[in-house]
Amino acid sequence: MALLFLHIQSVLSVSDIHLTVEDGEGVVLASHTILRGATLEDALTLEKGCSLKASFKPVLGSQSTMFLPQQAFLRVDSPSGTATVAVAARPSKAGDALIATAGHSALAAQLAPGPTRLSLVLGDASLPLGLEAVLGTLVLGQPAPGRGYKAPVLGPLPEIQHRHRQPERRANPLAPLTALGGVLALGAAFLLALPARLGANLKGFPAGGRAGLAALGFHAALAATLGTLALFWLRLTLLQTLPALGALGLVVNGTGRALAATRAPAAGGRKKAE
Amino acid sequence: MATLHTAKQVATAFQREYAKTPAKLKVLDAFSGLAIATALLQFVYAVLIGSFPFNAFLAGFFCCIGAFVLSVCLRMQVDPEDMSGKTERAFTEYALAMCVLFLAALNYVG
Repeated sequence: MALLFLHIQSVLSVSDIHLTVEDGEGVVLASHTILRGATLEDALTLEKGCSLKASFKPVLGSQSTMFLPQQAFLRVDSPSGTATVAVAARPSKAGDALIATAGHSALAAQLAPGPTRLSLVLGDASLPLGLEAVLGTLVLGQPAPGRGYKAPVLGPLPEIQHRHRQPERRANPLAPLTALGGVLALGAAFLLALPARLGANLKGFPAGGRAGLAALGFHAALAATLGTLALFWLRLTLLQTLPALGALGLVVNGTGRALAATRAPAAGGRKKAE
Repeated sequence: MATLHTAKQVATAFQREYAKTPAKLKVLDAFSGLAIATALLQFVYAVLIGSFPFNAFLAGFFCCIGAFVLSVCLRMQVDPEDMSGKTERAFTEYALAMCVLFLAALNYVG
Protein backbone atom coordinates (compact mmCIF):
# COMPACT_ATOMS: atom_id res chain seq x y z
CA MET A 1 0.00 0.00 0.00
CA ALA A 2 1.28 3.39 -0.80
CA LEU A 3 2.05 5.84 1.93
CA LEU A 4 -1.10 7.86 2.36
CA PHE A 5 -0.49 11.50 1.55
CA LEU A 6 -3.32 13.64 2.82
CA HIS A 7 -1.74 16.61 1.13
CA ILE A 8 -0.48 15.40 -2.26
CA GLN A 9 1.66 18.42 -2.91
CA SER A 10 3.87 17.95 0.15
CA VAL A 11 7.57 18.15 -0.61
CA LEU A 12 8.39 16.59 2.74
CA SER A 13 8.81 12.86 3.03
CA VAL A 14 10.45 10.40 5.35
CA SER A 15 12.93 7.65 4.92
CA ASP A 16 12.25 4.18 6.21
CA ILE A 17 10.41 4.25 9.52
CA HIS A 18 11.63 1.88 12.21
CA LEU A 19 9.07 0.88 14.83
CA THR A 20 10.20 -1.04 17.92
CA VAL A 21 8.27 -2.22 20.95
CA GLU A 22 10.36 -2.34 24.12
CA ASP A 23 9.52 -3.51 27.62
CA GLY A 24 10.27 -1.61 30.82
CA GLU A 25 13.94 -2.73 30.85
CA GLY A 26 14.56 -1.67 27.25
CA VAL A 27 14.45 -5.20 25.82
CA VAL A 28 13.14 -5.14 22.25
CA LEU A 29 10.02 -7.29 21.98
CA ALA A 30 9.10 -6.53 18.36
CA SER A 31 10.64 -4.58 15.52
CA HIS A 32 9.17 -3.47 12.22
CA THR A 33 10.52 -1.41 9.36
CA ILE A 34 8.08 0.44 7.17
CA LEU A 35 9.66 0.99 3.80
CA ARG A 36 9.22 4.26 2.07
CA GLY A 37 5.69 4.39 0.77
CA ALA A 38 4.36 1.43 2.76
CA THR A 39 2.33 0.72 5.93
CA LEU A 40 2.31 -1.99 8.54
CA GLU A 41 1.04 -5.26 7.19
CA ASP A 42 -0.03 -6.59 10.59
CA ALA A 43 -1.31 -4.69 13.58
CA LEU A 44 1.31 -3.75 16.15
CA THR A 45 0.50 -4.69 19.76
CA LEU A 46 1.52 -2.57 22.74
CA GLU A 47 1.00 -4.26 26.10
CA LYS A 48 1.04 -2.88 29.61
CA GLY A 49 4.49 -1.66 30.71
CA CYS A 50 5.84 -1.46 27.15
CA SER A 51 6.67 1.52 24.98
CA LEU A 52 6.61 2.13 21.24
CA LYS A 53 9.58 3.86 19.67
CA ALA A 54 9.46 5.29 16.15
CA SER A 55 12.65 6.36 14.43
CA PHE A 56 12.58 8.12 11.06
CA LYS A 57 14.47 10.61 8.97
CA PRO A 58 12.56 13.47 7.32
CA VAL A 59 13.94 14.58 4.00
CA LEU A 60 13.05 17.53 1.84
CA GLY A 61 12.33 16.86 -1.81
CA SER A 62 14.99 14.68 -3.38
CA GLN A 63 17.70 15.53 -0.89
CA SER A 64 19.20 12.75 1.23
CA THR A 65 20.26 14.88 4.22
CA MET A 66 17.92 15.10 7.20
CA PHE A 67 15.53 17.99 7.32
CA LEU A 68 14.18 19.20 10.66
CA PRO A 69 10.53 20.22 10.31
CA GLN A 70 8.96 22.70 12.68
CA GLN A 71 7.13 19.88 14.43
CA ALA A 72 7.08 16.14 14.19
CA PHE A 73 4.57 13.97 16.04
CA LEU A 74 3.75 10.32 16.33
CA ARG A 75 0.00 10.36 16.60
CA VAL A 76 -2.37 7.70 17.93
CA ASP A 77 -6.09 8.17 17.28
CA SER A 78 -9.08 6.27 18.59
CA PRO A 79 -11.13 4.47 15.94
CA SER A 80 -13.91 7.04 16.24
CA GLY A 81 -11.46 9.91 16.06
CA THR A 82 -12.73 11.50 19.26
CA ALA A 83 -9.51 10.99 21.22
CA THR A 84 -5.94 11.64 20.12
CA VAL A 85 -2.53 11.32 21.72
CA ALA A 86 0.39 13.02 19.99
CA VAL A 87 3.97 12.39 21.06
CA ALA A 88 6.61 14.86 19.91
CA ALA A 89 9.72 13.52 18.18
CA ARG A 90 13.16 14.70 19.22
CA PRO A 91 16.50 14.44 17.40
CA SER A 92 18.58 11.39 18.23
CA LYS A 93 21.93 11.71 19.97
CA ALA A 94 23.77 11.22 16.70
CA GLY A 95 21.52 13.79 15.06
CA ASP A 96 20.72 11.60 12.10
CA ALA A 97 17.09 10.76 12.88
CA LEU A 98 14.03 11.84 14.82
CA ILE A 99 12.79 9.55 17.60
CA ALA A 100 9.31 9.53 19.16
CA THR A 101 8.59 7.29 22.14
CA ALA A 102 5.06 6.59 23.38
CA GLY A 103 4.54 4.63 26.61
CA HIS A 104 1.56 2.34 27.08
CA SER A 105 0.45 4.06 30.27
CA ALA A 106 0.35 7.48 28.58
CA LEU A 107 -1.71 6.10 25.71
CA ALA A 108 -4.00 4.00 27.92
CA ALA A 109 -4.85 7.06 30.03
CA GLN A 110 -6.45 8.75 27.04
CA LEU A 111 -7.48 5.90 24.75
CA ALA A 112 -9.59 2.84 25.29
CA PRO A 113 -7.85 -0.52 24.87
CA GLY A 114 -8.13 -2.06 21.43
CA PRO A 115 -7.19 -1.07 17.90
CA THR A 116 -6.08 2.50 17.25
CA ARG A 117 -4.73 4.32 14.23
CA LEU A 118 -1.02 5.07 14.19
CA SER A 119 0.12 7.94 12.03
CA LEU A 120 2.98 10.36 11.53
CA VAL A 121 2.54 14.14 11.37
CA LEU A 122 5.34 16.39 10.16
CA GLY A 123 5.01 20.14 10.05
CA ASP A 124 1.64 21.63 9.17
CA ALA A 125 -0.27 19.15 7.03
CA SER A 126 -2.31 21.94 5.44
CA LEU A 127 0.80 23.49 3.92
CA PRO A 128 3.08 22.17 1.18
CA LEU A 129 5.79 21.59 3.76
CA GLY A 130 3.55 19.32 5.82
CA LEU A 131 2.98 15.62 5.88
CA GLU A 132 0.44 13.37 7.54
CA ALA A 133 0.77 9.68 6.92
CA VAL A 134 -1.07 6.68 8.39
CA LEU A 135 1.38 3.98 9.38
CA GLY A 136 -1.00 1.25 10.39
CA THR A 137 -2.94 -0.16 13.33
CA LEU A 138 -1.69 -0.17 16.90
CA VAL A 139 -3.53 -2.42 19.35
CA LEU A 140 -3.41 -1.16 22.92
CA GLY A 141 -3.36 -3.81 25.61
CA GLN A 142 -5.36 -3.68 28.81
CA PRO A 143 -4.04 -1.09 31.25
CA ALA A 144 -3.08 -1.62 34.89
CA PRO A 145 -6.08 -1.79 37.26
CA GLY A 146 -7.42 1.66 38.04
CA ARG A 147 -5.12 3.42 35.60
CA GLY A 148 -6.90 2.99 32.32
CA TYR A 149 -9.09 5.23 30.32
CA LYS A 150 -12.56 5.65 31.70
CA ALA A 151 -15.04 6.76 29.14
CA PRO A 152 -17.00 9.60 30.65
CA VAL A 153 -20.75 9.25 30.39
CA LEU A 154 -21.74 12.78 31.15
CA GLY A 155 -18.59 14.05 32.82
CA PRO A 156 -15.57 15.98 31.54
CA LEU A 157 -12.82 14.45 29.43
CA PRO A 158 -9.90 12.87 31.36
CA GLU A 159 -7.50 15.67 30.55
CA ILE A 160 -9.66 18.25 32.32
CA GLN A 161 -10.80 16.20 35.32
CA HIS A 162 -10.19 18.06 38.54
CA ARG A 163 -7.90 16.70 41.22
CA HIS A 164 -9.06 17.72 44.66
CA ARG A 165 -6.71 18.11 47.59
CA GLN A 166 -6.87 15.26 50.06
CA PRO A 167 -8.81 16.47 53.10
CA GLU A 168 -6.90 16.87 56.34
CA ARG A 169 -7.03 14.09 58.86
CA ARG A 170 -9.93 14.53 61.28
CA ALA A 171 -9.58 13.55 64.91
CA ASN A 172 -11.85 11.21 66.82
CA PRO A 173 -14.72 13.35 68.27
CA LEU A 174 -13.72 12.17 71.74
CA ALA A 175 -10.38 14.00 71.54
CA PRO A 176 -11.69 17.57 71.16
CA LEU A 177 -14.39 16.92 73.78
CA THR A 178 -11.72 15.73 76.21
CA ALA A 179 -9.62 18.81 75.49
CA LEU A 180 -12.69 21.01 76.02
CA GLY A 181 -13.29 19.29 79.35
CA GLY A 182 -9.68 20.00 80.31
CA VAL A 183 -10.01 23.69 79.49
CA LEU A 184 -13.30 23.98 81.38
CA ALA A 185 -11.76 22.17 84.33
CA LEU A 186 -8.95 24.73 84.40
CA GLY A 187 -11.48 27.55 84.34
CA ALA A 188 -13.58 25.94 87.06
CA ALA A 189 -10.48 25.43 89.20
CA PHE A 190 -9.66 29.11 88.81
CA LEU A 191 -13.15 30.28 89.73
CA LEU A 192 -13.66 27.87 92.62
CA ALA A 193 -10.20 27.50 94.11
CA LEU A 194 -9.34 31.18 94.01
CA PRO A 195 -11.97 32.33 96.52
CA ALA A 196 -11.11 29.36 98.72
CA ARG A 197 -7.40 30.25 98.79
CA LEU A 198 -7.46 34.03 98.65
CA GLY A 199 -10.92 34.73 99.95
CA ALA A 200 -13.58 36.58 98.00
CA ASN A 201 -13.91 40.28 98.67
CA LEU A 202 -17.67 40.11 99.07
CA LYS A 203 -17.69 41.89 102.42
CA GLY A 204 -16.26 44.92 100.65
CA PHE A 205 -19.15 44.99 98.15
CA PRO A 206 -21.25 48.16 98.62
CA ALA A 207 -24.50 47.38 100.40
CA GLY A 208 -26.78 50.03 98.98
CA GLY A 209 -27.19 53.58 97.87
CA ARG A 210 -25.32 55.11 94.99
CA ALA A 211 -22.26 52.90 95.48
CA GLY A 212 -24.33 49.72 95.47
CA LEU A 213 -26.14 50.68 92.27
CA ALA A 214 -22.88 51.64 90.61
CA ALA A 215 -21.27 48.34 91.62
CA LEU A 216 -24.25 46.30 90.39
CA GLY A 217 -24.38 48.19 87.11
CA PHE A 218 -20.63 47.85 86.59
CA HIS A 219 -20.59 44.09 87.10
CA ALA A 220 -23.81 43.57 85.12
CA ALA A 221 -22.40 45.56 82.20
CA LEU A 222 -19.22 43.45 82.24
CA ALA A 223 -21.31 40.27 82.23
CA ALA A 224 -23.42 41.66 79.38
CA THR A 225 -20.22 42.39 77.43
CA LEU A 226 -19.14 38.78 77.77
CA GLY A 227 -22.63 37.64 76.77
CA THR A 228 -22.52 39.89 73.69
CA LEU A 229 -19.21 38.39 72.66
CA ALA A 230 -20.71 34.91 73.07
CA LEU A 231 -23.71 35.93 70.95
CA PHE A 232 -21.31 37.32 68.35
CA TRP A 233 -19.66 33.94 68.15
CA LEU A 234 -22.95 32.08 67.85
CA ARG A 235 -25.38 34.33 65.99
CA LEU A 236 -24.57 37.98 65.45
CA THR A 237 -22.50 39.65 62.77
CA LEU A 238 -19.74 42.17 63.43
CA LEU A 239 -21.92 45.12 62.42
CA GLN A 240 -24.58 44.01 64.91
CA THR A 241 -22.06 43.44 67.71
CA LEU A 242 -20.02 46.63 67.56
CA PRO A 243 -22.88 49.05 68.42
CA ALA A 244 -23.90 46.82 71.33
CA LEU A 245 -20.34 46.68 72.60
CA GLY A 246 -20.07 50.43 72.24
CA ALA A 247 -23.21 51.02 74.30
CA LEU A 248 -22.10 48.55 76.95
CA GLY A 249 -18.69 50.18 77.04
CA LEU A 250 -20.29 53.52 77.85
CA VAL A 251 -22.27 51.89 80.69
CA VAL A 252 -19.12 50.22 82.04
CA ASN A 253 -17.26 53.51 81.86
CA GLY A 254 -19.98 55.47 83.61
CA THR A 255 -20.68 52.98 86.37
CA GLY A 256 -16.98 52.30 86.85
CA ARG A 257 -16.24 56.00 87.34
CA ALA A 258 -19.17 56.33 89.74
CA LEU A 259 -18.00 53.32 91.72
CA ALA A 260 -14.43 54.59 91.82
CA ALA A 261 -15.66 57.98 92.99
CA THR A 262 -17.53 56.43 95.91
CA ARG A 263 -14.40 54.50 96.89
CA ALA A 264 -12.11 57.52 96.52
CA PRO A 265 -12.44 58.91 100.07
CA ALA A 266 -11.59 55.49 101.58
CA ALA A 267 -8.64 55.10 99.25
CA GLY A 268 -7.41 58.60 100.06
CA GLY A 269 -7.58 57.84 103.79
CA ARG A 270 -5.47 54.67 103.34
CA LYS A 271 -2.88 56.61 101.37
CA LYS A 272 -2.67 59.27 104.06
CA ALA A 273 -2.28 56.60 106.70
CA GLU A 274 0.63 55.10 104.71
CA MET B 1 23.84 18.57 95.60
CA ALA B 2 24.82 22.18 95.98
CA THR B 3 22.56 23.06 93.06
CA LEU B 4 19.60 21.32 94.71
CA HIS B 5 20.28 23.15 97.96
CA THR B 6 20.46 26.45 96.12
CA ALA B 7 17.23 25.72 94.26
CA LYS B 8 15.51 24.86 97.52
CA GLN B 9 16.75 28.08 99.07
CA VAL B 10 15.47 30.05 96.09
CA ALA B 11 12.07 28.35 96.25
CA THR B 12 11.76 28.98 99.99
CA ALA B 13 12.73 32.63 99.62
CA PHE B 14 10.31 33.07 96.73
CA GLN B 15 7.46 31.50 98.75
CA ARG B 16 8.25 33.70 101.73
CA GLU B 17 8.30 36.91 99.71
CA TYR B 18 5.32 35.98 97.53
CA ALA B 19 3.19 35.56 100.65
CA LYS B 20 3.56 39.31 101.16
CA THR B 21 2.06 40.03 97.73
CA PRO B 22 -1.34 41.78 97.86
CA ALA B 23 -4.37 39.63 97.06
CA LYS B 24 -5.22 41.70 93.97
CA LEU B 25 -1.87 40.85 92.42
CA LYS B 26 -2.27 37.19 93.34
CA VAL B 27 -5.58 37.16 91.46
CA LEU B 28 -3.85 38.59 88.39
CA ASP B 29 -1.06 36.04 88.74
CA ALA B 30 -3.60 33.21 88.94
CA PHE B 31 -5.44 34.50 85.84
CA SER B 32 -2.14 34.80 83.95
CA GLY B 33 -1.30 31.22 84.93
CA LEU B 34 -4.74 30.11 83.73
CA ALA B 35 -4.18 31.82 80.36
CA ILE B 36 -0.78 30.21 79.89
CA ALA B 37 -2.06 26.80 80.94
CA THR B 38 -4.94 27.05 78.45
CA ALA B 39 -2.53 28.06 75.69
CA LEU B 40 -0.26 25.14 76.56
CA LEU B 41 -3.19 22.73 76.55
CA GLN B 42 -4.23 23.94 73.10
CA PHE B 43 -0.68 23.64 71.79
CA VAL B 44 -0.31 20.09 73.08
CA TYR B 45 -3.65 19.19 71.50
CA ALA B 46 -2.55 20.63 68.16
CA VAL B 47 0.72 18.69 68.26
CA LEU B 48 -0.82 15.38 69.33
CA ILE B 49 -4.21 15.35 67.63
CA GLY B 50 -3.95 17.89 64.84
CA SER B 51 -4.45 21.57 64.16
CA PHE B 52 -7.65 21.27 62.12
CA PRO B 53 -9.27 23.79 61.81
CA PHE B 54 -6.08 25.83 61.83
CA ASN B 55 -7.77 29.22 62.11
CA ALA B 56 -9.56 28.12 65.28
CA PHE B 57 -6.27 26.93 66.80
CA LEU B 58 -4.55 30.22 65.98
CA ALA B 59 -7.45 32.24 67.38
CA GLY B 60 -7.57 30.28 70.64
CA PHE B 61 -3.82 30.11 71.13
CA PHE B 62 -3.07 33.75 70.48
CA CYS B 63 -6.14 34.86 72.47
CA CYS B 64 -4.66 33.09 75.51
CA ILE B 65 -1.21 34.55 74.88
CA GLY B 66 -2.72 38.01 74.43
CA ALA B 67 -4.70 37.69 77.65
CA PHE B 68 -1.52 36.68 79.46
CA VAL B 69 0.40 39.64 78.09
CA LEU B 70 -2.36 42.12 78.98
CA SER B 71 -2.66 40.68 82.50
CA VAL B 72 1.09 40.99 83.03
CA CYS B 73 0.97 44.60 81.83
CA LEU B 74 -1.88 45.37 84.23
CA ARG B 75 0.03 43.73 87.07
CA MET B 76 3.06 45.86 86.34
CA GLN B 77 0.90 49.00 86.41
CA VAL B 78 -1.00 48.26 89.62
CA ASP B 79 1.95 46.92 91.61
CA PRO B 80 2.08 49.10 94.77
CA GLU B 81 5.90 49.03 94.77
CA ASP B 82 6.10 50.23 91.19
CA MET B 83 2.97 52.24 90.52
CA SER B 84 3.43 54.37 87.44
CA GLY B 85 -0.12 55.68 87.04
CA LYS B 86 -3.68 55.50 88.25
CA THR B 87 -5.14 52.08 88.94
CA GLU B 88 -8.51 53.00 87.46
CA ARG B 89 -7.01 54.11 84.18
CA ALA B 90 -4.90 50.96 83.99
CA PHE B 91 -7.93 48.75 84.56
CA THR B 92 -9.99 50.66 81.97
CA GLU B 93 -7.26 50.20 79.39
CA TYR B 94 -7.02 46.52 80.36
CA ALA B 95 -10.78 45.99 79.92
CA LEU B 96 -10.82 47.80 76.57
CA ALA B 97 -7.82 45.87 75.27
CA MET B 98 -9.34 42.56 76.38
CA CYS B 99 -12.60 43.43 74.58
CA VAL B 100 -10.71 44.15 71.36
CA LEU B 101 -8.65 40.98 71.77
CA PHE B 102 -11.69 38.76 72.32
CA LEU B 103 -13.56 40.42 69.47
CA ALA B 104 -10.68 39.76 67.07
CA ALA B 105 -10.26 36.19 68.31
CA LEU B 106 -13.96 35.41 68.02
CA ASN B 107 -14.00 36.93 64.55
CA TYR B 108 -11.16 34.65 63.49
CA VAL B 109 -12.25 31.44 65.17
CA GLY B 110 -15.03 31.00 62.67
